[in-house]
Amino acid sequence: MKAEVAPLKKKIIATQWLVLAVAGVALGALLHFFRQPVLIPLDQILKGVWALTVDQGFLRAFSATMVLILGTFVCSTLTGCLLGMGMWRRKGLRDALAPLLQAYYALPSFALYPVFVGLLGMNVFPIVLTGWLFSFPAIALNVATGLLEVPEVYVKVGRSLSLSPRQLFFRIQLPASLPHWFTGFKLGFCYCLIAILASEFILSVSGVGRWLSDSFTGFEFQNLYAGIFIVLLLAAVIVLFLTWYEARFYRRWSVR
Amino acid sequence: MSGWRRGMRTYGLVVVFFLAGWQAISWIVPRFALSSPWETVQTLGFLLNQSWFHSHLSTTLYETAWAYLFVILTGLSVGVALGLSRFWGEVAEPYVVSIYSLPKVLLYPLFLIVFTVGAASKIAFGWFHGIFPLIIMTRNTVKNINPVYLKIAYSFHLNFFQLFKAILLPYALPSIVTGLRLGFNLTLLGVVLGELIASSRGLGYLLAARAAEGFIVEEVMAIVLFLFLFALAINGVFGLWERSLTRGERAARYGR
Repeated sequence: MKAEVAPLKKKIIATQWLVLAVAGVALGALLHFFRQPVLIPLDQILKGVWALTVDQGFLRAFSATMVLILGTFVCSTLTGCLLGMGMWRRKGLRDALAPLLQAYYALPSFALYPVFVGLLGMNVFPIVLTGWLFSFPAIALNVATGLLEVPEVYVKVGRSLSLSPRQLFFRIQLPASLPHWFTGFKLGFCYCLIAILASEFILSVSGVGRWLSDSFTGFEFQNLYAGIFIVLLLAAVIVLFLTWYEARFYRRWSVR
Repeated sequence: MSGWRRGMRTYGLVVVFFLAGWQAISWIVPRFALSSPWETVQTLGFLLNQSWFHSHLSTTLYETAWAYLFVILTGLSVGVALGLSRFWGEVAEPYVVSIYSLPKVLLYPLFLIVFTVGAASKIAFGWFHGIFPLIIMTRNTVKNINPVYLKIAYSFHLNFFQLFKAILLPYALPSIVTGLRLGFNLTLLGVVLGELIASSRGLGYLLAARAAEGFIVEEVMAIVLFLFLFALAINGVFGLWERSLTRGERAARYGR
């Protein structure tokens, strides 16, 4: 069976690279032949990417944004895990919050960003608040779901070995629900990334979103395209890595 | 019935807590930074009677409707195609998943350049923002269809539209409705984001303008409230539809 699956998998991966290459060539040709002042040939964009990797201003903005994303992600993780564990422990809290959290992502929460800027001023706080609001519910929901879905048998085994509640949590409930925690962290990180870059892009004083917005309004299209290219490529690599690791995580844990 | 009533009571409590918290914050912070719930509702009532507000509202609705129409048409057909062809589905998966979780707003300048600052760029961006959840949900359901159903279709010589209408759609409708709901949320968000960043009409523009021109907080809050209520209402309708579909399914499964 395995021998049959492997060539198909190889063919799929080969086709994926082919699709990527065709898309790249098509994009290159499109940019090359539809010469307009605002469209820049692909080789120019790639040259711009190369130039940006040593550009002080871009690197400073880029690293500031990364620090902001990581900081917000840490805040979301802490609050999301606490809330998720609270929802797991207290049924009342769960009943009250679960429908709310599920409807939560229906709201165009970016619309609140101008309100936050009014409340907190033009600095990093409204950005962090938007990112946090956008990401912690996903973490809380996944943590609660994971802990609630731990099979009762596991807990019974722990009880019959007379584990303390603390041991029960760290030896059984936490490991058994870990893949769900990871899904929550993955979603939370992606949402942080989206919310922070978007808020910086809309209105801010610093960061790579602001840098891109400045290049756009200043007609520096080579910088603009190169910057978008770098940020999206990095984001795509992070997302794909997390997705791949998540799938591996689930596979490894479900076999046991 | 009692479960339904308890659910309503929980919702009611959550709404009361939310309003109380909002009121409390509006007492603490300065008046220019946050308006109270009642002031916001009054302002919304005032806005809804203004003809200039109607013109912005209808612009947003018009753009969202067109974008959503394209989302439905293209998302369903691409999702069904990727679900029926296992090979192409697997090839496309990493691209679809990674684009779904990228900060798409960074690509908005490209939409502005290609479609110029008008309704077209918002429609295109709303479409791009909203299509991916529908593709993913449709593909995942169609992929797992019982092959016997497809064989029946084959033996009846159904053409593609008959196959879609008689077999795929009824089979996949519950998760397609979920995909349609998620897709609507993201389409609306995409259109509003597009208007927020660069436009001269629409609710997003109004939000940005009222936030920038001396920060008229009552109107900013009223617009945010309107967008939230609108999104919640549409989601409520989709939620009822989903529930009625799965109720039929449950009844069929248990023979009731």
